[in-house]
Amino acid sequence: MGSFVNLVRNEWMKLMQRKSTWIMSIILIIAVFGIFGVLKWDYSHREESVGANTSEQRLQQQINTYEAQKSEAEPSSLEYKNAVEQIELAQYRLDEGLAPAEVGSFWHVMNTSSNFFSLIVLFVIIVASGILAHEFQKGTIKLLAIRPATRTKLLYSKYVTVLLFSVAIALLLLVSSLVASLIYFPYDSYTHLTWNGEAVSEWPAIFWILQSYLYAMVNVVVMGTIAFVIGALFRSSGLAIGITMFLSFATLPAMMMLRKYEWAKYILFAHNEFSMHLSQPFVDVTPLYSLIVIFVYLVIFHVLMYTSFKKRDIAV
Amino acid sequence: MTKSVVQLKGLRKDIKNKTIIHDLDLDLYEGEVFGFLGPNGAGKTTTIRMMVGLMKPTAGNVIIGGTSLLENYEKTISQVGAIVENPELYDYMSGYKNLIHFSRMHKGITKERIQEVVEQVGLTSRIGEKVKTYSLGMRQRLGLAQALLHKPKFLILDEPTNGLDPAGIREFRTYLRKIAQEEGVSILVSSHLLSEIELMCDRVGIIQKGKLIDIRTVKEESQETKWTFTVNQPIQAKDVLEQSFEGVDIETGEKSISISISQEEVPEYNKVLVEQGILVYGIENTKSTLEDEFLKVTGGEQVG
Repeated sequence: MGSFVNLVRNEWMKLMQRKSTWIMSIILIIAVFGIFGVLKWDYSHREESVGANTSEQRLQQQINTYEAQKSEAEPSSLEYKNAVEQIELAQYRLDEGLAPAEVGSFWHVMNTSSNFFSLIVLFVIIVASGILAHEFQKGTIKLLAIRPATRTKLLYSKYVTVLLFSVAIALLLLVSSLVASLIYFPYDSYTHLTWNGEAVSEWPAIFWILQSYLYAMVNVVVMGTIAFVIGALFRSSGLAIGITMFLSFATLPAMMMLRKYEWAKYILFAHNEFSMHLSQPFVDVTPLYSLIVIFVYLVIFHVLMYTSFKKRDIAV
Repeated sequence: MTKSVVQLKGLRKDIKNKTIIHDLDLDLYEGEVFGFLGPNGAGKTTTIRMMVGLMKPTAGNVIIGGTSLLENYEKTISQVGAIVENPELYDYMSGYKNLIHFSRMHKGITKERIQEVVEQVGLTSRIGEKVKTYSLGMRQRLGLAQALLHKPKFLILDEPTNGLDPAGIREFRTYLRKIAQEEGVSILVSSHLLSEIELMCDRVGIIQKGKLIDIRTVKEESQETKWTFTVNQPIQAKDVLEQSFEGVDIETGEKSISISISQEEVPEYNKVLVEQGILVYGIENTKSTLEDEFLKVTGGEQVG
């Protein structure tokens, strides 16, 4: 076990010594501060038009909108379920006197920071594609493979490092978003509400943020794993980045088309955007169902990669 | 000296139904520098790759220090240090960070040991700099350092003098002999510089088309010296010498004759030739080098 930890330390050291890792981190920070700055400018110009309504009026408006949606939708449909949930939550806010997160308030902006996960997915794909393929492209794999560490350990020390990097860069996003929000936007208290189908529960605001981050992490892990597996199978980082990026862009329109079919729910790409469970799921399944489908696919990918990596000769 | 550290037993490698390495048997001994010689594509690197576990043999086994590479990989490989082809290191990191990296993959390598190896290979002044600023010779030294870190019993060096300047090569040679003798390490050197192998190694194995066709000790080679007499009448000179010295083997050239004799005999031969009125323009020692032998054995054939 000690030797595995050392392997992960090695991988982490190599990752941190690469310039590209730092460039990605700096791009993320600049993007957060830049886009939050633009948001602040935008919200300060928007205030006059929406300022007339009170938050109670807006909640009432929301209830009316969803009531209309509910009456039109089939009782078994996703739209119907979503409308019921939204009505329950808005009603609870009115009853308890809990203000919703106002546009341009601290917590509202914090929650939009999870949109930066599209950037994180890109960075994790880049890291996961290269972490093993670079060793083959540069020939350094030979010096790794002739040490008393089995290939399994080598492979998984790299995979663990990709996962650690995903968590680290997500934390960097969280911290820089917190700092940027504190600088740009007024702080106000907010209570987050959830609906489990029967009752509403209250949560501290930070839970709301962590939940959206955690949900977004699912896609990071899925795309990171795909990139890693392709990198390990083809031993080329460019190919792995290319294919995985293509998948991350092209599957959304494809799934839009396929979602109406019953078998769509067995496809990985109906589930990897796990954040959909926070608003409206793509296909009518529970979060647990999505996690199981994702898990099965990831296991298949790992088996493919593992058998290929262990068996093949290293001739570079 | 007779204790064998490495044993290759019937090592074979087939790639796509074609046999690349044919049932190779070889014993390498403690404190010995063994030269691995062969034309390009003969299977040197493939054999080395099987010895370090980069490739799986189709048949046969590699035994190092009494344990089998195939059955007890981690223990066996921990006794091996190697540079396979070019020493490809992480050029975006410093030399020192590279060594830290490799030291973490073995048990019990201290900072002092790293420092010691850095001094041994003569990189102390530049070890903190990024590898991308290193010359090929310095990379070669760093490659050697990473191979030596864990005090291996068996050291494999593929083309080790590539990129070293003449002074560096001399130093390297002395250093190899030293670790072989003092630490009882068995060293396998493959090189295309045949004269290098000759100066560095105790024994040489010649491989061709995946078969080990000859193993000889280098000392024997060096004793077999040849002298070339440049003369005006080679045919007559041969007759004259054959009359005076029985059983001598003389080759005639266009303007010369070649005889395999020791240095002490040269004046006598010269005297006979001069007395018989043959004009001797020059006498030259054309020591039969390993290169000649190598070309003779492999028929001068080159692949690729």
